[in-house]
Amino acid sequence: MVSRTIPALERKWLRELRQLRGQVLTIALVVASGLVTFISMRGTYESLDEARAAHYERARFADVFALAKRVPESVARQLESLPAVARLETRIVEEITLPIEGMARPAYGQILSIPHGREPVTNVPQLRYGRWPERGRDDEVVVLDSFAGAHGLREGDELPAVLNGKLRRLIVVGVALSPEYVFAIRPGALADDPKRYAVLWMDRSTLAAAFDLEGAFNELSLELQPGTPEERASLSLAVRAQIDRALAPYGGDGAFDRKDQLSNRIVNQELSQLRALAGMIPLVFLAVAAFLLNLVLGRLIRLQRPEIATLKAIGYSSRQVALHYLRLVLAVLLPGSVLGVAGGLALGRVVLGLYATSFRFPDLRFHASAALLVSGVLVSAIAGTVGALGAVRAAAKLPPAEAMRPPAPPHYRQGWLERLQLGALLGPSGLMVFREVQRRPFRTLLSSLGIAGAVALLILGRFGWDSLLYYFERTFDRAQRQDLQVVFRRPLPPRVVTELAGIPGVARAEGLRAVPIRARQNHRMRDSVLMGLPDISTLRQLIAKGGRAVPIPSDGVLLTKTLGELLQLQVGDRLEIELREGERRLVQAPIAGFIDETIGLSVYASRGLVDQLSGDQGAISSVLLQIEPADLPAVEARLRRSPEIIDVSDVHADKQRMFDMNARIMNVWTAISIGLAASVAFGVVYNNARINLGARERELASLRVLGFSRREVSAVLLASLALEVLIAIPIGLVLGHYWAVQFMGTVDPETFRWEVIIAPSTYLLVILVILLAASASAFWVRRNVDRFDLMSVLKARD
Amino acid sequence: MLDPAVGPGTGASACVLSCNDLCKTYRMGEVEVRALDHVDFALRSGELLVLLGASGSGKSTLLNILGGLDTPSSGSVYFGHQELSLADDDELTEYRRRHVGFVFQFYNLIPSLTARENVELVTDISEDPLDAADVLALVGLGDRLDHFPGQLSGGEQQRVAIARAVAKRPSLLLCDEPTGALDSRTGIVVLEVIERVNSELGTATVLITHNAPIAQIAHRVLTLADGRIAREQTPARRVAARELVW
Repeated sequence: MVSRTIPALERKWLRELRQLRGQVLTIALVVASGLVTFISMRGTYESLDEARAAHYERARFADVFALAKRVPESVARQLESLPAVARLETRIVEEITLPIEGMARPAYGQILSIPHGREPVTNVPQLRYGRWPERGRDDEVVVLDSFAGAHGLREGDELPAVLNGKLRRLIVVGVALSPEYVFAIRPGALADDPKRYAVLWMDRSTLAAAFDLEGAFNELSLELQPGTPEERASLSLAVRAQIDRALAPYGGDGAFDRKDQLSNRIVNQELSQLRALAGMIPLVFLAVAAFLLNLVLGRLIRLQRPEIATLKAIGYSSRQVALHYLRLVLAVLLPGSVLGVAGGLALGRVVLGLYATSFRFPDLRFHASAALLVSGVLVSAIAGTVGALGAVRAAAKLPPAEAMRPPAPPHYRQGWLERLQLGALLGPSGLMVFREVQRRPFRTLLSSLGIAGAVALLILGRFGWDSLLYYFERTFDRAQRQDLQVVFRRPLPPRVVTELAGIPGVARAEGLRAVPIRARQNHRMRDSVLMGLPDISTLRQLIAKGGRAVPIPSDGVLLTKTLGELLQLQVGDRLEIELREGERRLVQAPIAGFIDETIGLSVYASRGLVDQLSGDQGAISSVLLQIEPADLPAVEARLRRSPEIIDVSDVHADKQRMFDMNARIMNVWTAISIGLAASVAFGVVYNNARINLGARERELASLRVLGFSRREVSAVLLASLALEVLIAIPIGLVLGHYWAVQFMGTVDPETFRWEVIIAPSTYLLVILVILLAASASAFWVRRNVDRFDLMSVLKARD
Repeated sequence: MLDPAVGPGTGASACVLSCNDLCKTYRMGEVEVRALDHVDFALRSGELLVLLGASGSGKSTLLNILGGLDTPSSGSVYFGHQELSLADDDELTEYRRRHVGFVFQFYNLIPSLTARENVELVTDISEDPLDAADVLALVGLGDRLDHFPGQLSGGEQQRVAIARAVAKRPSLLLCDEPTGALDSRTGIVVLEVIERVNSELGTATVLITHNAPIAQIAHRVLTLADGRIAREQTPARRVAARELVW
């Protein structure tokens, strides 16, 4: 006999659980949602973080990098002996193009040298398969994994490449991953493009011969002596100063720290965003779950006052009574945790899979540590217990004699509505709704806050997409109107613009000059690019705050607003500019204004001014082309043949790729946030509806007896739910916007400055999802009103 | 549309409500309970009828069927020419809305509405209601219009319930143990109000009680036992409610 073995109190608990199953399940769903987000996001963060740490360590990712023109190897030996330096490696790094058959525009990339017969001491490529180039073979290369994957390259495949103006046939002998190219993106590109961005490794002597760099190097990287992060930061600063001095005579470009390494910066950025989200989002669910538990338990305990009294009268202790009710938390937590952990692990794999397409780590696997799972469940348990505690304490403290009596009748009073003589406008049923809210404003507010949380979650899930579309509109439709951008291997004389304009099909050609600079103001400085635009620039437009196009000043420079803020400069101040090419002149220019740009820190001027500052005859580093659509293939074919061109980028293709990549991620995100928000909204509205219905059953039955129809009675109940939802929506919209701004605050403004944009379609989606979730609960209420047993309700004493 | 065949007080033969061969059977778990067993009965216009009986005798079941809260298992109930036993839920709602006033043992007031607003709850959905303040004055609560139920005594709450029941000028007033939760002094005040409503407004009234002395205020007394009408009496002399003692 099972029933004999289960104590009576347990049986009571089990039976009540059956009655409360709807409520327990919806709250469990909210707990599960919290755990799903926590485990999947935090788990993805930890998996990526561990993969990053392991990869960086195994591949000995360098702490400091420096580029120069041509440095004798002896300089490296001096730098290696610096006490702060643990190891140092030199390398040859050059730009290449790969005119691959079947591609309209050639791929662009970098070729890196590999030392003879030994592993590099820093930045060791991790061979995924194949082997290293053999000594004496001048055509063997190892290819970056993402590029090999995009082209389906295998060992033995041929790869055409232009090295220093000469077309070579290279043979793939291996495929590798590198800590320097976890996120492989060409500098200045909007999105990664594995098909068009290549990284190749080649034997050092072959590369030295191809680029006339025998006995010399043009890049060094080093590992610092171990120490705390602070010690390493100061070591890095000191070592970089020494490197800059040593490399200055050899065209040194300024050493930079690992944190400014392009791939590493993007990976860090993404991880810190993920960590922020993993901290923010689950809190909403936990808070809502705690509130719901409080609501449901509070109601249960009010209903069971006589039972609590009886339990105490026959000798159960207050502690036993408290535990009895606290176990409801367990009933919520158990299915919630199972569901949450399972869902979290599954979703984590999906989320990590999204990252894995762009972030290339060896052995990237979703891994949720036991500590993570336990802490997630523990935090949920604490939130649930905190939520339940107030109600349970009330049950434990109830003296038996008092508990035998029914609770004091609820107290209502007349408020401002009556004083303003507005009561008549509402009518009695309106007044019932209003006074219920007035009597329990805190509960109404909490319910509304719960629903508002759902609204905010949805906005947080969608705003990135809206902001991206806004950015597209601004950048591609207004700021960058060219069809193709042609980049030259080295700056060319201005007549190249007229030559390109002469190609049949080219409607317009505008030449740009880009000079790498270091912008200074006292001790503050930032590396930047000085862009020279033609006096009448139609393809490239500079946009200031409010969307106004700014004309190019003839006698001053325009700064990206953020750069101005970083350097604390005002309009009219003089900007100190260190040119990082040619004679590396130090010049000054007045600041004519600021512009609003989403990405990067740039300085703009007229090409005339840039030529003047550079002190030369003028040069063109890239040309923007507007092309008749029908002639695009012919123009591209023509450009492909020029050895002076290192890259041709198609803005429309870039935009499409960036759009597609983000759309894929956003679709997953939108689906997840709709699911999560709906679970919260449904949980709150459903539980409120049940409690309201239970608490006011008698009142509503009385209305039925008085001749109110089912519809009219449901309306009284639904009106209070509707009111909560109506209060929630504006709060949620504001909260969502606030979260979005907070979230964007975790993004380093020096890389990205996305405006927080929430599109009308998002507002509509939010309202639709919330109304649907609320309507589902309302439907349930209506069904229950229809099933009212009038007589038994009215016969019972309060 | 449900209408009585005749107005109140048009003579002994004018029936507001009649039932023939009424049976009601409940299933309570495994057991079948016969709550009403072949009951025949008619309520005349302007009549104050007391249904007397012990607990479980079937009087509440009868009242619920008369009030359109429940339907019989067999037999028929007529309100005028309309057969209530065949009415659907909407028709019963309409019947309650237009013609029936209910008073319960536990008042069933809406706690969030004041006395006046509780009455207005009914006057708002009625065609030719009495003024809420007037009807509250009629039950002796003219000075407590803006009090919430929580601020009123049990007797006062019951009088609000009566005011709410009669404000629509119902064809019949059904009172289920209206004094059951009250002490005798307060109970007498409530009965006085019912008596007054019956005589001044001419509302046909059915009053359920297990308290025999109350039967003295009736025009007619039906005693129920085991779901049947055991006895029908017409008191030779009606006693005014204020003279009752129990």
